[in-house]
Amino acid sequence: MNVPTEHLLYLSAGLFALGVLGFMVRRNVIVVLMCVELMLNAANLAFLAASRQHALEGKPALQGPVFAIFVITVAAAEAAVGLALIIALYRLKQSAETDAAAEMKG
Amino acid sequence: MQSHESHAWLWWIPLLPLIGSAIAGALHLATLRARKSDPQASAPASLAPWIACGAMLGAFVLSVTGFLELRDLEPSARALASTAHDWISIGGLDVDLGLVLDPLSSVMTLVITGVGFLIHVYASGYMKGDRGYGKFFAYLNLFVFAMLMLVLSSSLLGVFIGWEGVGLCSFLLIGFWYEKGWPAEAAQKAFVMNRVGDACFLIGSFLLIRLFGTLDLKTIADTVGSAVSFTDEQALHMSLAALFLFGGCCGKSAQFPLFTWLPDAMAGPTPVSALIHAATMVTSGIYLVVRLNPLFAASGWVLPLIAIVGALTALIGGSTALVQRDIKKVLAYSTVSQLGYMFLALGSGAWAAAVFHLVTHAFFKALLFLGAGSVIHGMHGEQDMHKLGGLRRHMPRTYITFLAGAAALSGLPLLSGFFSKDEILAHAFASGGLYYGLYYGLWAVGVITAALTAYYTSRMVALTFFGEERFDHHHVHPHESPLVMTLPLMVLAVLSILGGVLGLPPVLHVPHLLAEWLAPVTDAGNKILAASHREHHLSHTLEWILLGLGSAIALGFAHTGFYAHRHGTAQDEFFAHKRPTLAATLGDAWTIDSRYARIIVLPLRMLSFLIAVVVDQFAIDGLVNGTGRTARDIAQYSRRAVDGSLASYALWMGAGALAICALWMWS
Repeated sequence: MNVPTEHLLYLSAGLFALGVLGFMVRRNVIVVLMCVELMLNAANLAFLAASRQHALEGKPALQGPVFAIFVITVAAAEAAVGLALIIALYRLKQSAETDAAAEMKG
Repeated sequence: MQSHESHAWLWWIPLLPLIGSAIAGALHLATLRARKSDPQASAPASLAPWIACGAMLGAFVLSVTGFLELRDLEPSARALASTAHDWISIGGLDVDLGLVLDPLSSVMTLVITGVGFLIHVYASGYMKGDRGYGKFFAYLNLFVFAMLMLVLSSSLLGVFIGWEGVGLCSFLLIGFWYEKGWPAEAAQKAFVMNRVGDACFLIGSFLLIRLFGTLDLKTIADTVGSAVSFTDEQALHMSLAALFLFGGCCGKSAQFPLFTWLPDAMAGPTPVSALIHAATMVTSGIYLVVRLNPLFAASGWVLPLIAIVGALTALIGGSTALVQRDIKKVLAYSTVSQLGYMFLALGSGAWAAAVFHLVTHAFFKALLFLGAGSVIHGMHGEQDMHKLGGLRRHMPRTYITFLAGAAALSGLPLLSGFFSKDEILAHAFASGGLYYGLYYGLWAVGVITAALTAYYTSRMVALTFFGEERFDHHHVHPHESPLVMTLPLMVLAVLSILGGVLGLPPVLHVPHLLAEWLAPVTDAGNKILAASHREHHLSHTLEWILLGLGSAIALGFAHTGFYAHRHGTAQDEFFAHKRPTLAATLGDAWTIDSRYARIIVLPLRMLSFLIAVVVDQFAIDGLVNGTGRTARDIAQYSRRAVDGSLASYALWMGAGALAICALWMWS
């Protein structure tokens, strides 16, 4: 089965849009963090799709998967830092809502 | 410089008063601190007069030493110099910070420290009990320092520093009793009027730098004195330089049209009036002209202008003094008038006569001011002569000494003022035929002023010391001043009587001591005048006639003035009643001051008001406040974007990313 690249990019755009939407509408910080992960993975999908598109003699271009692996690594690190921040926020505010940390608003 | 030997001790002459000033000031501050615990404490300040008088005495002794040392030198080599260091060196201009003691500055130094010492002693009695006792002596000594720098400096820049220094001290001392309000205003007026003159002084100095490339007084005088001829342009520049320097002298020496600050300066304590506004500071203009006499002699039309201004000022001052009721105002206008005489002498090329009158005037006018101060002191501050009268019985010592000073001022025969005034008039007469007989006219003005002088002086004596006692006996108990005040009066009285021996007229076949002493300084100017046929000699008969005329006028008008006012104020009231316009005009110094108020001060105030309200409050403040308000308003609107909602931040961020993408795709 040969899936066209366009379909993969549609999927990627859809996932990214879902991530953005979740990021905007949800107030629970853990869910917001999950949405960020969703957007990163949408980007990974786009990278892999592009890598397949630019295949030479049946071998996909290497840059796409390499980038995706880097993104996964960074995402892991980001999740670690993000969760630590969430715990700190919860200790401070007894809540994990984004509205709880709005002191710096104008 | 003739002598390469350095006389560093010269610096001690001005430095002693400066040190005295610093110590007296420190004592004043110590008194202020002591008063915090005990309001009556004045122990530290009571030491101040000892320090100040000691410093003055030291400076006087050094001045005498310098004088003796000069006397032992050859006349042409009479100059002791000391250069502290190379002060300013820019391009072709080199200015040294140096002192020179030559015949002219030694005369000035002796007068300043000698008369100054007597006035310091007097002031220690006069100012006793004043809250600013220590401060007063600090200022007074500082003034003497500045004045000595003025007359001793070797360069015009040093003179200018002294010039500004005496102006500052004059300001501080006129406004010494600033709590009363009007002395502070008088001080400000004196300062501002002097600024006009000081600006002229600076312009004159710049012109001299342009002409000669130096500010060294001796170099300038020698260059002009030894020059054979000048180009038209040089001559014009020299005339302009002389004119502007004379403008500076007009301010400092209270000449028309800048004299109006001096009568107001009487708001200061009386010893200040005696020292600064009669004996020393106001004569610095005369000093400057004599110092640069070759320049003025070579400056053509400036010399008759000086003579005209001098004669006019003498007449204005003398006639205004006729109707004044305040005893210090009479003396102030008299000082203006006598300074006018000195400038008449300078304008006639009679340098030595001007210095001679400067010296005798310092003696008798200091004496008269101190005597007036003694009267004011004994009468608990009363200065209105209409409320004095009959004081000769209450203050015999003040009365006798005051009489000596008044006789010298009137020019009664054989007293100091007689000889010096007569010499000036003789010189003006001798220059007679120049400029279509201009000097005959000026001579006539001088003679009229001499008559006025004799009249107002005897009026002052009559109103103060004779007639009925017009003060309130229940509240005022006139008393003679203490010895510390009357002793300086006696010394000054002797000097006023005998001061004439310094410059006896040539008809008596005795040497004119002062003219001979000043010859090394004034020869250059005299030579220039002689070259342009401006030096004339009178025949002996004519001189006798002029002397006789002078004596007759002085005696006659002194007699008239005395008998008209001997019995009280009736004559004044009669005059004011019969000629109200004339009396008002004279009382207001020919309305010059009120004209200034109308023509200069009032428009200036209106302009200031305009600037303060329209330009400053509307335009400038509007601009400044508007900037702030605009920034605040913008912030007020834009802060709404930062609402603390993560979603809206993300929305903005997404919108920004989209916008960048759109931009990238479109271009």
